Amino acid sequence: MADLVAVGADPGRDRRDPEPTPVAGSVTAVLVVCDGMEWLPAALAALSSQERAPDRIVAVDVGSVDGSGLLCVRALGAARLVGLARGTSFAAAVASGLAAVGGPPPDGFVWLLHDDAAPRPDALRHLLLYAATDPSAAVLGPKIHDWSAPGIVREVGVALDRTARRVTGLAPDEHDHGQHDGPRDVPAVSTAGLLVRSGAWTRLGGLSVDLAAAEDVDFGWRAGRSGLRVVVVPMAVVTHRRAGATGRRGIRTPRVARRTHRQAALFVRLANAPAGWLPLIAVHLALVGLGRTAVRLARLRPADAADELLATAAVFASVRLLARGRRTRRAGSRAGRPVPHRVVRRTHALIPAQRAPLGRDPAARDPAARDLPSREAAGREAAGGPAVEVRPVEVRRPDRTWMALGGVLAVVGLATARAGGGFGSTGVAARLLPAPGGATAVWSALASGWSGGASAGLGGPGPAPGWTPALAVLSTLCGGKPWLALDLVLAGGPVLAGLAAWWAAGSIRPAVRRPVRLAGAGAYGLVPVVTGTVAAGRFDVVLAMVVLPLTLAAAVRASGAVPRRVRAAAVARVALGAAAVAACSPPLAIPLALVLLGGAALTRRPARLVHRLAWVFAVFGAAAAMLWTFAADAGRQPGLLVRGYGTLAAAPVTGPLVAAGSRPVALAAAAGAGVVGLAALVGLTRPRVAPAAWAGWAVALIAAGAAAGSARGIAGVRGSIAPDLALAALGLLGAAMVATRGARLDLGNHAFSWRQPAAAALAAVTLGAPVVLAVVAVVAPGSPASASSGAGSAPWGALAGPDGGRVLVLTGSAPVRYSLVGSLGPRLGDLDARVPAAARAFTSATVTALVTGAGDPAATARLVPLGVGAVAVPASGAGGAVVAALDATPGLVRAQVGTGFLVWRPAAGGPGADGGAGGGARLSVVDGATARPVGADGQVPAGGNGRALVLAEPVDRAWRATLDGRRLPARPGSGFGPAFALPAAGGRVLVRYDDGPRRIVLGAQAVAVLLAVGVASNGAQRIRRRTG
Amino acid sequence: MRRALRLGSAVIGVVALGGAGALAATRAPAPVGGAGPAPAVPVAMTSVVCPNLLAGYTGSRAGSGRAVRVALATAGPAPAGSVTRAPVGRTGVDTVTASGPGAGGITTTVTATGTGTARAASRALCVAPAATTWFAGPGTGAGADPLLTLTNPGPGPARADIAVVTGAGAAGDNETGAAGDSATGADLGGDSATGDPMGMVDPGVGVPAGSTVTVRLAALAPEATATAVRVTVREGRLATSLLDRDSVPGPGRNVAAVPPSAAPSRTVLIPGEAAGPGRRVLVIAAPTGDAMVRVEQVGAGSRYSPVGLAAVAVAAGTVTRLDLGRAPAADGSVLATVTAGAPVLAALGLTSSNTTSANGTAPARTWLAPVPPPAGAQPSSTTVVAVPGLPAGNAGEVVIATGSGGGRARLDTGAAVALPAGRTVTIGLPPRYRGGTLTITGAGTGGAAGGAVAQILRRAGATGAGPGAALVLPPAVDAVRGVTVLDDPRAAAQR
Repeated sequence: MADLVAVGADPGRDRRDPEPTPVAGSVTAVLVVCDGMEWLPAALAALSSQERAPDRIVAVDVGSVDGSGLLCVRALGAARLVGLARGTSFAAAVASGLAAVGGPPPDGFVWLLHDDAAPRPDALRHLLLYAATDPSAAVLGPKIHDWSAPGIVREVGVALDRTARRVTGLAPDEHDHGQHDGPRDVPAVSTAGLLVRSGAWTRLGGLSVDLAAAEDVDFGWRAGRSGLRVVVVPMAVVTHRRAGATGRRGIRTPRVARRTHRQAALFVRLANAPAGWLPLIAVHLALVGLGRTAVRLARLRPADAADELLATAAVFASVRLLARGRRTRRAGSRAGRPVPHRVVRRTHALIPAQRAPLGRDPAARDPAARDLPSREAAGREAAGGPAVEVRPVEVRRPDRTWMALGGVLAVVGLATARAGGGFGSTGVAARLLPAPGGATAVWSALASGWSGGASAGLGGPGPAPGWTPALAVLSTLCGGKPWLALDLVLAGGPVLAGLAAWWAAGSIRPAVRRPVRLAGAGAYGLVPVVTGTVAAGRFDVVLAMVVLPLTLAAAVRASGAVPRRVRAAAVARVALGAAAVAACSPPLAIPLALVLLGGAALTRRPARLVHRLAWVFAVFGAAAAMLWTFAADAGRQPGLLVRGYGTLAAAPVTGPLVAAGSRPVALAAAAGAGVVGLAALVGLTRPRVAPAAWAGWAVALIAAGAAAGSARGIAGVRGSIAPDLALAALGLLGAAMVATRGARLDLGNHAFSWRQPAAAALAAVTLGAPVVLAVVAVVAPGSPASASSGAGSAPWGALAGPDGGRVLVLTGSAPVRYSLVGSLGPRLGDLDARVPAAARAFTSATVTALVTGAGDPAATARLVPLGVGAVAVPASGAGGAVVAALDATPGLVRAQVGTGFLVWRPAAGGPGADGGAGGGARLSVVDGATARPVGADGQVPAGGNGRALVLAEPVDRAWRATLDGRRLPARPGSGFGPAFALPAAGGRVLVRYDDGPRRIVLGAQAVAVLLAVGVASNGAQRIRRRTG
Repeated sequence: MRRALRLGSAVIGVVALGGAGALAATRAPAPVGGAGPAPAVPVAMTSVVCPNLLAGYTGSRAGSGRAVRVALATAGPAPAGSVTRAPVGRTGVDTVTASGPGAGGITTTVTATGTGTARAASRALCVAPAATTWFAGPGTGAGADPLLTLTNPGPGPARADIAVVTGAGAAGDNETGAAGDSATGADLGGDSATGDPMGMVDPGVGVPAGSTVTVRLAALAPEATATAVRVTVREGRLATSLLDRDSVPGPGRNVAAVPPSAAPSRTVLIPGEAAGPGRRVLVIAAPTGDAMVRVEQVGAGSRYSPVGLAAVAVAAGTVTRLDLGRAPAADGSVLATVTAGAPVLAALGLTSSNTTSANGTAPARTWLAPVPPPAGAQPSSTTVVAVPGLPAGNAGEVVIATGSGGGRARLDTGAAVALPAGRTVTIGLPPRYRGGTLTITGAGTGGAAGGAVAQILRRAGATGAGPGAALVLPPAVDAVRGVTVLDDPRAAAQR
């Protein structure tokens, strides 16, 4: 055991090193081997090439079956090999190895090595050097590099977080630019390359033999409790395969390896927890285990979920083992004065690199940790060694430009929404119709299978509009306030659209420069169809416009995804996006499908046709499964695919550019489209980017075709072109962005001519377009808020009467627009109520009879089955002819209600009405010619035979009525609503809509969505990594 | 070559895109589907209320000789369905309800005979309850006591606001003359801060179910040379009538029904300016704003503006009474056209005497005003007017004033005349004419601006007798224009 001199310290190679210093102390290296033929040769070679070789090397073979032991014998000699039974833990193997050589060398060091870890030649030298300069450092560890990608740093110290997760504080796949190269105190270091002073080893009793994994964290923790410092010395580098943790070693499958590690980590967390906090920590970890299980289940990884559950259960089941572990640790720490837990915790807080700003001294920022470095420095000074210099390193800063983009777009969004009518329940969110009262109403509208149910107006069997699930989820997240959800989506529309475009632009290949990406994303968020749609209060279309770029990006990524799991997740993402877009804006369904199909056909990715076909089938199948009821609805009325939601089947649609706002805005949009189109055109002429530019153009052309179709009318149905224009804008912007790729270089190759000024002008105008759009959107906002409704303030309840009647509201003259309003007033979704044709015809005929002024005495009588208690004409928009006609209608009397409405009520005692005060009723008992309303309590008095219970809703077979729980038989109705035979006895009646099959389909659809979300959430990390 | 191809296709793409955009942008939104012209709907039922012409009379009603007559006229051959007549309580007011085919073709009149010596019958049209009723004409000066009657034929209570445009201050200004005098609006205690030039509103005259409430116009607006009245129903259904009558009670009392007028309009054509003794007054009210009105005399062969009447200024919220002088030698019409300003109401009064009373408020014998256009009337080249029969002892004629277009008129008796544009044509009714139809073909006869028909009654056998009663007849409406209705939940969200 002669003193050795560190060799190979060439000052020219590493300027940080001090002059070669004699490094004192004997080093015993313990190499634990198990089935390591794949990597052991490299490990042995690295060991033998150490500049400062260990004094003694002992290899411990844990029952290798692949000849690893033989290799060790050849390399080190038979005497240096200890053979142990397969399955022996790492800690036990180390202990046995050391025992075989007579224990740790006195005043020396123990160096632990794995068979899948290859220390760099200078690793041990650096460790020893640091140990010499810092005598108080008891446990030293190297920086761990990835085995297969040596530039990637994997660990610079390690810790367990509160959920017993192993954390390194490093970003995934972080490149080592030396940004972590300051030696510092850490909670623990990996056992691969761990150098520990013999005294510390003896004092701690070595690694804990109870543990099958995580012994390194445990060791560091115990060291900390014993007042021993654990220091990472990043100058020493070990490349580590991490075969055990990832299950690449033959003894455990990856799953078992993961479970073992999780179990060990939990054990370590519990065994080292302070006694006072133990119950709380135990409960916390149990909840964490359940939560992680649920998350894995949701992500469709049942095996992982089972592992998590098993690991948690196993730890809590081994109470005795845990108790013993805690006892031994207590006993170990009792030897000296244990360091308080809070101090150890502070050390733990030091490890994550995100808390230690890049290239800076962590202690400078973390006041809680100030005492530790001082302790460290004191130790260094005591040793007389030089202070270890921390070298500031320039690293690439994470991209935060999107935040600025978001800020600008947020201002625009707020301005646009404010111009559109402001906020709150009567603001821009109510531009179309006021939002339903609460999230419950939205959920029940979604689940009931009776469309138009949110308002108590006229409804019918059919699904709620496709955007209802989104609104339901959002309003639940907003604390049950749908108007708040609408406000957030609308005011945040430009932000969300811009950020979505920003994210999506990251998937453009060839990649584009950041300013270009920023300008493109900003332009999309500010394009007048987006701001105009916000001002128009169309939250559903805004949602579609937000999801659209994400869907296209997902499609681009899915076509390039190779691993099977990622491919499934990518396909699920595309399907989810497409389903969301189609559900929120059905007119986008066909163009988007064409884009996806075209993309699959033309990009030739995946390469094999059968894969491509499978891709297409998977995407469309999944989307169809998620959209089943909505698709069926669209199948029954194909006009929906052109018209979209929120419009009337037989109504004039909003003008094509109405959505684009006022004339200056439309002109600005046209000019902007021209400029962007020109830039996109340039892309077609540049061979390197032409394919991508063509793809963008194809999207734009498909969308433009759809827009032209919508504007002209397809099969007599016309629709708003705003969604199509958004898609076209995306295509054009994509093509324009891609056109800039390498443009500077190309221009540099040309002599100065018209090209450079033209390109500069084009670039200036294109980059300036978002700015202009932003100014235009704020200064000259879309259409004025004249159509903003104050419907929330109308006393619909008072007009409708106490028995849940309706109000017939009439406006205009040619045509006369009518609406049957329930006591809640008109609500979002009423426009898409699927009123059966017969019911609609009945209503139309009734209204026609009322407003033509033909004096049809039956007109008033027909109001009774509709439950109409009042006919109202807005005083400001009253058509004289309509008012005169209503005045001339027999049985209809003007009522004096000072609400801004002229109101007529069916005369009390008039035809067919027996209801007091002329109020309508949703449910009434008809006995011969008299009808008596059923109150909110549902109580029906006893009466004669032959009575009928009549409901003022369109007939459907799924209506069920019960009297005190007994089902009432249906009987022929009045021509409008369903009727049930009522026995002579009285009681409490209950009528409900119960469409079982539809509910099952809805449930299946929900399951499909959850499945897709689960599959899509897999591999998100990987995607982030690739795009990050 | 490849590059050119690429560039070319790109240009084509841009042009296609621009074309699509332009196409989309230029196509104005238009109603699609279901918004076509709606078919006409036959009138199923009409219900009118006939005023009590003897309201306020002393003496027994039994001897009043009051009769309600229903004249039927249909454009087609279908006969009327059932016609029922029911009194409204003990008010002397009757409700006439016609239902079934042809219900829209009836013209119902109420006639009072024998109320004065040597007088022709007085006759009024029965009118349907309406939300807003306009009247123009009678003054409330000495000797005149117009009576407004609100009848509630419905089963529930009703309530109405009454607004009067009048001039209390002008009442003392009894100068008469062609230039007329002005009356200004007076506040009757209503809310004048509403910005309504009608100024005064008597809010809330309640009328119980099945009864009438009479309001003396003189009580609302005393000493006015002329008035215009607007009755707005706030609640329930009300039929309103206005009687212009002498203030002196007695059997010889003059009573003339003031017909409800069409709403203020820019062109008011009043036919029925009967020839004979007596004078004529024209009352013009501008309830909504200042107006400059040209008054024209439309005769059988001429049309001119009398001296001083080519530009009559009517201030907002005032009534102007113009003395048109002696009646013309042949039946004529009066046309009032607003040349500038707000629409006006106009009524033509025919007085029985050639002299003007001292205060200019001598009751007119009869009042004529354009009838409110029937709701839902369809534009048609043929207009059918139901002509009521002649009361016993009366003769009469039909006066047709044509608008901008000519045509032809044919009475069901076979009498037919050509109708030149912008003239007045008279067709005499045969003695004991029992009522029938007048069919007018050709453009320019429908509506107030286009043309109008009036009937004049005269005492039979009395040579040179003045007109007894004259009334403008409404066109029969067999079927109303269909209305396209559209289920639109947004209707309730618009205020």
